[in-house]
Amino acid sequence: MSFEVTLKVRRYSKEKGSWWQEYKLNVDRFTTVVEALRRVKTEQDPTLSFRASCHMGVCGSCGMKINGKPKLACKTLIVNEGKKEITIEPMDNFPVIKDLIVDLDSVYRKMNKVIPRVTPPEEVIQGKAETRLKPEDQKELWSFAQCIICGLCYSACPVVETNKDFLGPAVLAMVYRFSADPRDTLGKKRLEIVDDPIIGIWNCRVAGSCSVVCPRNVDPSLAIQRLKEVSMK
Amino acid sequence: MIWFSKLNIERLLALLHKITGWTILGYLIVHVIFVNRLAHGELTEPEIFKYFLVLIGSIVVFHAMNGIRIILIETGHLIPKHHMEEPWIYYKPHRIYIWSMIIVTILSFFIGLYLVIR
Repeated sequence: MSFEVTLKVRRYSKEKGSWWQEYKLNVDRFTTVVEALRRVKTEQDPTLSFRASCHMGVCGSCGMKINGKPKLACKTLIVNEGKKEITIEPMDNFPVIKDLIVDLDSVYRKMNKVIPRVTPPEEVIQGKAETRLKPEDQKELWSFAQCIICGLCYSACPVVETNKDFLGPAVLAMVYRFSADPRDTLGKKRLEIVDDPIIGIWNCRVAGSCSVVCPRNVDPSLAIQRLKEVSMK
Repeated sequence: MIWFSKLNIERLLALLHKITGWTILGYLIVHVIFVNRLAHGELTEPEIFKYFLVLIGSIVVFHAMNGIRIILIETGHLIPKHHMEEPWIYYKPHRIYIWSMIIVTILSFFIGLYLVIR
C-alpha cells in the first residue's frame, strides 16, 4: 500500500544561497529517506544533491537532519517518521557545499591530531615480540571501534556549535578506543592532547546527544567521560 | 541555536546549568550592590523580593545538584562499567539521580514558597 508524502528539502547553492523546496511522491512502508531522495533526483529534479553510497548504514555518507534530528537517511524509514511532510536539512555545524552535502574536512583534520592508529612497542614492530588482545578487552573496545565517521554526533553536539576547535565526539571516542587498547603505547601522549582546555575533553558539557544520535551505538559520550576519569587519575 | 534541539533531557539540563550559572553570578553582583544601597538607606526592600529569593533558592539547588551529577559522571561513579546496548545516559542510577534532582528542585521551590506565604 503506497501513500503520498511531501519532502521539504532545505537546498543551498553558492550562487542562490539557501531555500526550501518541496517534492511530492508516492512511497510505501519500506521506502527509506535515501530511496525517496534518489527517486526525486531521478524523476523530478536532477539538480538535487546529496551523498549516499552503501544504503545499509555502513559507509556513513548519508548523514542529514530529518525532521530536525541528525540521522542516516538510509536507516530512516519514511513510515516511521509518522508525518506526511518530512523536512530534510544538511547537518548542523558543518559548512554546506551544496544542498544536503556538507564538508567533513574539519573532522578528518581533528582526527589526524590524535594519532588515530594503534602504535605497538618497538619490539613488536621489529617482529621480536607480540602483543595479544584478550577477548574481554576486545569485547570492550569493539563498540567504540564501530564509528563510521558519519558526522551525526558533530551535528548534534551543542559544544561544536560554539567552539569549532573542540575535537568533538567521534574523535574523542577514537582516542579512548586507541588509548584503552592494551597493544598501544601512545595512550599518555593522546591523553596530553585531549587534556587541552580549548580543544579537549573538558569542553564536553555532558549533553549526551552524540550518543543518542549515533547510528552505530558507539556511545561517544561514554568514551569522553571515561577519558575524563582516566585523565584525573 | 542547536542547544534547543529536542533530543534528550541531559541536553536541556546542560543548557539550564549554563543559564542558572549565569543567573547566580548576576544575582551575586546585584545582591552586593542592592545590600550596599539598602545599608545606606537609599533603597527599601520591596515585598515581591521574597518571592524572587525563593526562585533564586531553587535555582541554586538545581545548579548544585546538577553540578554534583556532572562531577559524579566525570569521576566514573554515575556511568556504567561496560558499554551498554543503549546510550549510557539511560543507565539506571543516572536516570534515578536525574529524576530525584528534578523532584528536589521542585520541592525546594514549594517549601520556600510555603515559608514565605505562611
